[in-house]
Amino acid sequence: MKRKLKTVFAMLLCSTLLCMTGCWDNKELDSLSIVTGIGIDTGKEPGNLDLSFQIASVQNGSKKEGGGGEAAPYLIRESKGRFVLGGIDALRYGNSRQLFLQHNQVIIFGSDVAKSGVKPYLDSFMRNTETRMEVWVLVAKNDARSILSTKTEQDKISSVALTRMIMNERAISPYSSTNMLQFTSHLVDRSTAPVTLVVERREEDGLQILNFSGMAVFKDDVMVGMMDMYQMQGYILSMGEVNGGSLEIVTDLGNADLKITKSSCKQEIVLGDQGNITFKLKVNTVLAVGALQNFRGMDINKVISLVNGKAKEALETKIKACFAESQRLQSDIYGIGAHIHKHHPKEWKTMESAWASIYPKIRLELEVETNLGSSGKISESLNMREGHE
Amino acid sequence: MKPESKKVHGLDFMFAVACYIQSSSLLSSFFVSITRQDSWIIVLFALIICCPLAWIYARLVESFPTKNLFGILQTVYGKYLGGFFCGLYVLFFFILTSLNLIDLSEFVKSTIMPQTPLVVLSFTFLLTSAWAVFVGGLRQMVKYGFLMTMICLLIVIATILLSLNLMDFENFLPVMDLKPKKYIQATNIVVTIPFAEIIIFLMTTNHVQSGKRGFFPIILGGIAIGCITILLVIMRDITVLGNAISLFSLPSFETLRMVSVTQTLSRMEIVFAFILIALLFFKVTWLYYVTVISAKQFLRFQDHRRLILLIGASAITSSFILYPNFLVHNESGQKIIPLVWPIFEIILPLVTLIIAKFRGMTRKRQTGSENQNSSSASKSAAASPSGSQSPSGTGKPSLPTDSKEQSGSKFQSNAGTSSGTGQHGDLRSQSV
Amino acid sequence: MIWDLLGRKIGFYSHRQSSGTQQKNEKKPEPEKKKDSRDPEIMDRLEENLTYIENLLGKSGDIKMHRFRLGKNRECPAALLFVDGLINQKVISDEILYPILSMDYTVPSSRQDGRQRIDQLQEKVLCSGDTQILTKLSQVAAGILSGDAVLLVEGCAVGLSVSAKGWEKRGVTEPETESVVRGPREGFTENFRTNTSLLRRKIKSPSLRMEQMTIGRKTLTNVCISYLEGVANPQVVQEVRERLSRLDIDSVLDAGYLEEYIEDAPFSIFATVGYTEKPDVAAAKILEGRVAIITDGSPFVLTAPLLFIETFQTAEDYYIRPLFASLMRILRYIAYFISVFLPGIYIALTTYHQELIPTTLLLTIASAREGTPFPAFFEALIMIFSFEILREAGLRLPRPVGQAVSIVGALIMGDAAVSAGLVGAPMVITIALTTVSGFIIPEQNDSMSLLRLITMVFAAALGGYGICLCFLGLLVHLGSLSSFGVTYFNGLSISRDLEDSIVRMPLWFMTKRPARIAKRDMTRRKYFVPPDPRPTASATGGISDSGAKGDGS
Repeated sequence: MKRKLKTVFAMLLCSTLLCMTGCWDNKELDSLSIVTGIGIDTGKEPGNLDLSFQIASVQNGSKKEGGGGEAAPYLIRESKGRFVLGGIDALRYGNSRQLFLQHNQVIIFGSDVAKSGVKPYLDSFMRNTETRMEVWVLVAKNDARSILSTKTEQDKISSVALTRMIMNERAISPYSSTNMLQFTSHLVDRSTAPVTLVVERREEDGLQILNFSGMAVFKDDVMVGMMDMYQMQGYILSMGEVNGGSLEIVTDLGNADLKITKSSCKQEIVLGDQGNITFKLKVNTVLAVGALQNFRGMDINKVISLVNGKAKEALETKIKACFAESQRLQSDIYGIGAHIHKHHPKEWKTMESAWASIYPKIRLELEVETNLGSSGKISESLNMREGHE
Repeated sequence: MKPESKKVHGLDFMFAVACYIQSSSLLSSFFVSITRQDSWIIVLFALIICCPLAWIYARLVESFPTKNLFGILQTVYGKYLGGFFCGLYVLFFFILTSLNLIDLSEFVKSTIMPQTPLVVLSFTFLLTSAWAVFVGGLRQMVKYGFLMTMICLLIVIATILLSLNLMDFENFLPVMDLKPKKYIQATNIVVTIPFAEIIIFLMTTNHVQSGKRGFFPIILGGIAIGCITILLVIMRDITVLGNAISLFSLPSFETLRMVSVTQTLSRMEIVFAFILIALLFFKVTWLYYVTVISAKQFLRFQDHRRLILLIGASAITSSFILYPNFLVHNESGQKIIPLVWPIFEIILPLVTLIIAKFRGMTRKRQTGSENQNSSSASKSAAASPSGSQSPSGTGKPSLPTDSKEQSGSKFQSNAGTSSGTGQHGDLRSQSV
Repeated sequence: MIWDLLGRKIGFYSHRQSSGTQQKNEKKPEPEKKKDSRDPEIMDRLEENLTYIENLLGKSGDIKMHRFRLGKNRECPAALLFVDGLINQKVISDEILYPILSMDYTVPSSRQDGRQRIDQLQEKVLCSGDTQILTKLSQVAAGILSGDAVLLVEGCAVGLSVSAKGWEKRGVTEPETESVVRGPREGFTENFRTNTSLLRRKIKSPSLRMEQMTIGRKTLTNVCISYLEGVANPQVVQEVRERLSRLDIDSVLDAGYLEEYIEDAPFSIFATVGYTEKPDVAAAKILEGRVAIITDGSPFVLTAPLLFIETFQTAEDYYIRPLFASLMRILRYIAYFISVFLPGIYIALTTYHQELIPTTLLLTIASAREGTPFPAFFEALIMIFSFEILREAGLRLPRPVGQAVSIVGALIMGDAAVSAGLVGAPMVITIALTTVSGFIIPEQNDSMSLLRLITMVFAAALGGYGICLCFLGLLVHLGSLSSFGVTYFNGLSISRDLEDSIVRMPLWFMTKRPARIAKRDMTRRKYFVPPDPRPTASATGGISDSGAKGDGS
């Protein structure tokens, strides 16, 4: 009997324990504001930040169907603060629901903030357990808030749309986009400069469109410059595999639009005797003809070889332009320093401190091989056929 | 039902060892933060070092087939010195239990329950664990080893496949770039923290049926499986995280956060967190169980169940007292523990083995078995059907508590309520 | 030394066991006393006997005492006692009354003579194959109550019972609980003999044992322990025998009565005794070394020991081809997992770990949750309870009405609740999936319903960590259970003997009986013989070999 009482008592104790515990982390879905994007801009007062949070607004699905009034798919809340956490905290008092950062898709830095260094903000994001490491880091061409408040058409929430866009971009080449982990990993590296995509907002026919306009190049955590799409293509081509992209060739005889079907790249770094470093790049690109214009009266084989040669030149200039730009900015976006660190750890020790000054002296040896293979569904240009007859 | 009513199969025991080591893969930050991209080499070093260690353990166990660690210590060192060592070991097991408990609670707190008080987490966890110790025992404990090992291996391989696109094998470079001292330090940590902790299994070996080849292949097999798992985990983490690996306190969890099957199924880490919790449960329950039975043996209790709640309560308490926070824990994991633990894990067993050899005790089992033959030949035959073939056939337990357990189990089998096996049936017919 | 050990053992033994043996010792002398006072032998005088029986059985309308006179001159009074409805009238008239009425008979001169007369009757006259000499009046009463006809003759101090059993019974039909697409369709019935015969017809091996006993002081129910001698573990058989003989209960109306008295863990949510309604399943289990318990009056045959994985095996697994069978079995494990954990996981995800839901899905769920009044846990609780109520209502009602109830309940109520904004649509989907997958494993349905509630409570209290604890607790509990000395969780937990647990290997692959139950005569067939289309000598040898071993599957 006594034992039974004991067990009953123990069970009661356990059940009360269970009942008591259900408070700490419990948060019902309808008490949350799901943040999908965060923008950071400099505030009007110096030293202050303008934080904008994009919060996905949810309506009850069963009721929404009847109602005709289309509510905004998201709302933007703003707050000011000296630090990121302070900003989030400030918003906590002004919002009926708890901010939920776990589903944050993108962190967009305004260009002003990026130019002054992003390390302190990243640090506060990383320390926060709520942030995930695969959040995309972007730089806005102007201010971040305008990007977040863009009304995109198909994906109603602009940050979700941005994620989709980044995924598309990554299908072509993963080197230009950067998430939190890669960004910090590069920062820890201290030689490799992080790059991120630059996003801009454009208006076309009254439609608001988000567009990647290039690549932001950092040196340490400070944005030192932006590369345009032209240089960016050079960058991704020299980093490794590329599965897409186009190349326009303009010649006197005619124009050609080439598609990059596949491009691979071999990087090699050779340390010379006197400490001079050679960066050898071997790019092998397979191209396909997207469109041919003019080339009147020419044989298709000739056209192909001509275009091929031109393409090679174009690629070379692109890659070189990009490399030159990076040398000008003194930021090692190729990870040459990290490579030396991995393969020649002893030499690296002497270079490490002066890497910024060594980097611009690196010589580039470029070898581009293009291979214009497939010509699409039709072999000759429509204009060319006219010319034959 | 007495847990020790039946001998445990050697293979199951091996998987229990493997599972125990696997469950430590979570704590890789102890040495990963020291050796970074070379950590995988450390694991290999540790495996090599563990080979002689496994041999020492196996020799020790085979020399005294009927005794567990405490029995061996008391035989070799005599009543008082042996008792002193036993007391130290009880303390050691106890501290291990509370350390692992706090590890688990910290893990849960930092990954899935950020706002729940630590005490709630460790209390509920230890309650479940106490239940397992209460209803189960060696056989129950061992039982999950295989299941868990397989699940763990499966998960590790699955995550490797899933994170294949995130991997960058350049991350292994540069190889052997750090100071040699760091390698020694890290190897020491790896050996002492997950691997040599399997000394706790020596508390139960007298209930294990080792088979023909003895204990060495069993222990080494367990270590090897566990080691391979840890190696895979470490290599996966290094290739995925690169040099950022030393930043995180839970590298493997951070890796798993990166894994995304498709865009919609990107947040799978909780599944892995569950597996890790399950593995740690296995580990903590083993430690808890060993602490309880060792305390029982040390304090000469009749029934180990009376000690369960007492030890559990003090384990929770001490887990909060031992270290004020996780950082100190990590620090001591790197600096203090690797110096203290080897005394228990390596030096004492080695010294014991040498002294036992020196005093000629290792051959004692033959004379011992002769003694018993007169008393209860049927019993030893029943206790181990392979006794005749195996060199480490079991004989009569020397300790009073042990023999009681044995006899209790025997009676149970008479009544047939315990696991009814053919062997015990034979025993019945012979002894009645 | 051995005695010393034994003595200590007894000291160690729990109180329950010792009191049990005491009871047994006390019981034995009791029946002996009864014999003298209350159990008189059959007397010479017929009328005295009849009065005694009449007094014993009371004035029951269905008890017939047919009085008649034997011999050419009809001088010897005799009586045939039987219960109307329990006997076959044709047997009574053709095989008992006709032969004895047409023979020569005189009143026996002495007690000895009377005995001889009855022997003569038994040996020479009666046309029945199942006769028995009775000496006690209580036997007479028991005989007629179990469907025999008892012949009492003036001047004979013995009675002759003739089996004339014949009552209304249900024919062998297809069982409703375990219907199969492929495989035998017959099922056990309520009739004890039919059931034993069904088993005998499946296993013709001479070593099939049918140990019969009577349980229940009032109902006197026939119970039969059936097993394969030499295959079944004798300890398990002994254990079953002991537990059954220890029973001292009033009545046994169904096998469920027995199950409750002999199971290992009465307070566990898992049953530790299995049941089946199909002879082929019972035969297969007996062939694996299990013990079947057949109860009179119940179409369910109990099987012991029961393992956890056994509930995931169906008869059909072995009749269809192994690949598909394995897939189905894995599906069952998944369904079990879903059914137990899905509501808990849903609660944990929506109230604790929103970060784990993919963003787009989270937005969908969030918009469904928007405006529903209850927390997720109560929402789930409401849904689960209403579904359980609907299920129970549909089960007890006549079939056509039951279907209507489920349609009204499930479709209309569910839809209305969602559109009224009382519960979210994702919750309805979750609970529907949960309950439907619960039906895949009917044997575990009750345990699943309970487990589901427990996981939900834990998930509501501690989120994913709670579910994890719950899962571990479940493992611990499963590991600690045992059924008749066999570990309940065998087959999933040990690194051996996995041929027939998570997947089903081909039949020709399973050359050994599962070691988790059987301990002797392990070989089903000697060689590992995959099917070979070429007719060779060895293949035919293999077939005949397996036939000799009595492989029922």
